[in-house]
Amino acid sequence: MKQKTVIANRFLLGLITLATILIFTTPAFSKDSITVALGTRLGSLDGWNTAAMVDWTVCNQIYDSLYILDPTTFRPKPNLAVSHKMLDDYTWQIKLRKGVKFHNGESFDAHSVKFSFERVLDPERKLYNQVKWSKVIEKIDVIDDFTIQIKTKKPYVVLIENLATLDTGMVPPNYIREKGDSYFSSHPVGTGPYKFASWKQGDRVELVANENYWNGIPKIKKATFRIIPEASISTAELIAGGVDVVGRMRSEQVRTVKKSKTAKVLSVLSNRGHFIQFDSIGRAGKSPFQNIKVRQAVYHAINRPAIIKMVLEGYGKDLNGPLSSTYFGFDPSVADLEPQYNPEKAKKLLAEAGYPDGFNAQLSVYEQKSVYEAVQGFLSKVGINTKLNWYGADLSTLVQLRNSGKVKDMGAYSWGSVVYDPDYFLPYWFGMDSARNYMKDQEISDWLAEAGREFDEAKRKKLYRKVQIKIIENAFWVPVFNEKALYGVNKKLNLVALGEFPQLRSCSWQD
Amino acid sequence: MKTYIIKKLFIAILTVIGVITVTFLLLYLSGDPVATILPPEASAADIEEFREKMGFNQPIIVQWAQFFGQVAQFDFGESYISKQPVIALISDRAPASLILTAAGFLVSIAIAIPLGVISAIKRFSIIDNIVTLFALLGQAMPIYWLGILLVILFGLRLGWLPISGNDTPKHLILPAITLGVSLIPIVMRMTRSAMNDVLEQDYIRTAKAFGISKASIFVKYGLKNAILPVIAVVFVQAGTLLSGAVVTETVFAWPGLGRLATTAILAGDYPLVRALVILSTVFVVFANLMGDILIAKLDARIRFN
Repeated sequence: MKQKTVIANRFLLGLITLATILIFTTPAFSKDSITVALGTRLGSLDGWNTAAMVDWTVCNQIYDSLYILDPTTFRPKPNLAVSHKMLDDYTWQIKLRKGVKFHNGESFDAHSVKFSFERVLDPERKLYNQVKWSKVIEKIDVIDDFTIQIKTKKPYVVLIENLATLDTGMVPPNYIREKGDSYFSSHPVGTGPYKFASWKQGDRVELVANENYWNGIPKIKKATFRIIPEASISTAELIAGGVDVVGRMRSEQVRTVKKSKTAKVLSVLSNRGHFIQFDSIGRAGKSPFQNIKVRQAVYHAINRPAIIKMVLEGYGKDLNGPLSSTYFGFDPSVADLEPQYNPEKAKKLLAEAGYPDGFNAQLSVYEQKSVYEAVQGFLSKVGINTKLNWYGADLSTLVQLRNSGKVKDMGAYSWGSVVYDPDYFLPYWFGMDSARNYMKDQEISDWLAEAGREFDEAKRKKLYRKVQIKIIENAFWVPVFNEKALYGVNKKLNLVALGEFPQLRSCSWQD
Repeated sequence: MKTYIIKKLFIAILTVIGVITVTFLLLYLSGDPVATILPPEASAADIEEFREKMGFNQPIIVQWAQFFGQVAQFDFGESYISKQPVIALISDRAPASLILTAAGFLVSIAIAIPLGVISAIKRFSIIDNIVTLFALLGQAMPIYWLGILLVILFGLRLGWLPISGNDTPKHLILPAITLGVSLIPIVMRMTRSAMNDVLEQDYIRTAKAFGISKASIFVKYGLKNAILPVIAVVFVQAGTLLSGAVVTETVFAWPGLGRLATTAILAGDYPLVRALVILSTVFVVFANLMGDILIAKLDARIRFN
């Protein structure tokens, strides 16, 4: 017995010593760096070859596009381009910035732009955005070292808008020819404010400031992106000072951060709108929602301002019609046409539609569960007993069901993008050839196609107004709310963000 | 001994083949991932073309045969999301997982076996009751919850330990404890009951009669014989440890295979999911096999049965 105690004591002593050694090795806090928490694994750091927001969050610091969004007007302004003019409806001539260098020393010029686009167009390379650009670009020519000419396959009104996105960062031709696409996607080189330093798979990506950046050297010299999947853990890290920025916070995180002494909440208007799509044509089988009165009844039944105030605690904005207010062509007057909260009227409409006692329905949801639980409550008050089909983080299953026409009654989705133009949104939901289309309205589809070809801004606005009005009048969708991007931020950090994407170049630490 | 090992090996290989087939069928039934791989601009025609390119529209038996052939050559393909070879992604992450699993395993052994021995020696005493209660608590406690509690206490309130990541050895402490605790109850109970059985044997009484010291009796004659079934249980629990690691890695942002699996499943990254399921099956089957062989080697009664 005695011998045993001795062994146990030694063991314990050893453990304590080990623990003590380990505990006193914390690195000192340095204000020269910034750490951003990301919720999911990074896939590819080749911006042209990914669809994931996390990837773009990092790419955004490494690459420069030809154009960039103005954070106040949400319209594109020149970046690596300096100016452009249209020679005809199909031909765009773009002048490029001189004296810009890639992180590896290659010079940026017209040949880099040509290579960047021809790379994505090459079907052999199988880049994610090949489908998108091969529908747009006919060919791209070098006029001189700093002038290029883009020929489009169709009159493409929103070309410049699409050259301002995070997935069109200019890439270095020689580097990629030498190393290949696969190596490039894990060792990216761009012209942007930060240079890639290292990537520890599943854990972190580290960037360092580009001291030769053409548009001002970043104040913060080192940027780290850490992957922390569990929301409560990233919040804990934020409060403890382990990370400085947590993006897309949920309401329970917001509450914790608000109470803390070390972190604050920053809300930035995003163009992401959340909406309920009805199966207006019975694509997934006969549905009460094929009746317009039933759809209007749902519009009347949901108290949307209350959801924003109570469920989202004010961190949301009214969404009127399909477009959020930062979109080109959003018409504030459509708000007056929307059915307002009026449960009595909803019941009346349901009775007229032949459902005086209500009915059972389904609502498929994959995010913002508490919002749709509130919706469920509002619907039950007017007699629509709604079953919530919760897909949690399993978006891919719901997307697959939706695109194959199997989402019954109602589906709740959201759309946010880096192109603030309806052409990069509505056609994918209302175009006749879209897999997402649950209303099959030829007229809307035609107007959208026309607006995509029309160069006259006033005429485009008119077309989009007609689209917004028709969607509201037919109640194809019920817009629920316009999301605000919620960041948890270290109290001493001045964070600058464009919607859901932090712009580290403009961030700084307070003294 | 040889026939015994061959028999066990044969069963193990059959199990692996079975799991590969089931994995294939489950992924087949869950449909093709085209919708998540293609961009929003993709039209119905693009989707059809892509399905053809990926071979999603071939008959099931052809797909199965292709799949099996690839697995046999350790060709798990390329991740849909990272566009990199699946094997490279897995080997990148494997070390972190191995370290965590080994540490969790050691934590559980270091705590569970002494506790089990003590509670067997002091059977039905207060200590025994407390230890049993501890075991019950450990069993009932979800790993997830325990991990977050530990983070709040040691990471946030006391600030002694890092909250997440795996930069320094210090980062290993909380995840290892979290993972280890999940295995403690079963190992401890097994040690206790095995030890009880042994202590009732005639040779223990004889040893006592010879006046051999108590410590020597418990360790040399008691634990040495009681450890056999414990080893068996530990190896069989390899699966528990593995699934525990998935949760632990997620909570502590530990860049291991468990995390990789979760994100792969959520993103519909099927080549990666397939490879991970198959490899973890091989791991569990192999661990079981090792357990069986080890026991047979230690205990002649099993070997010749």
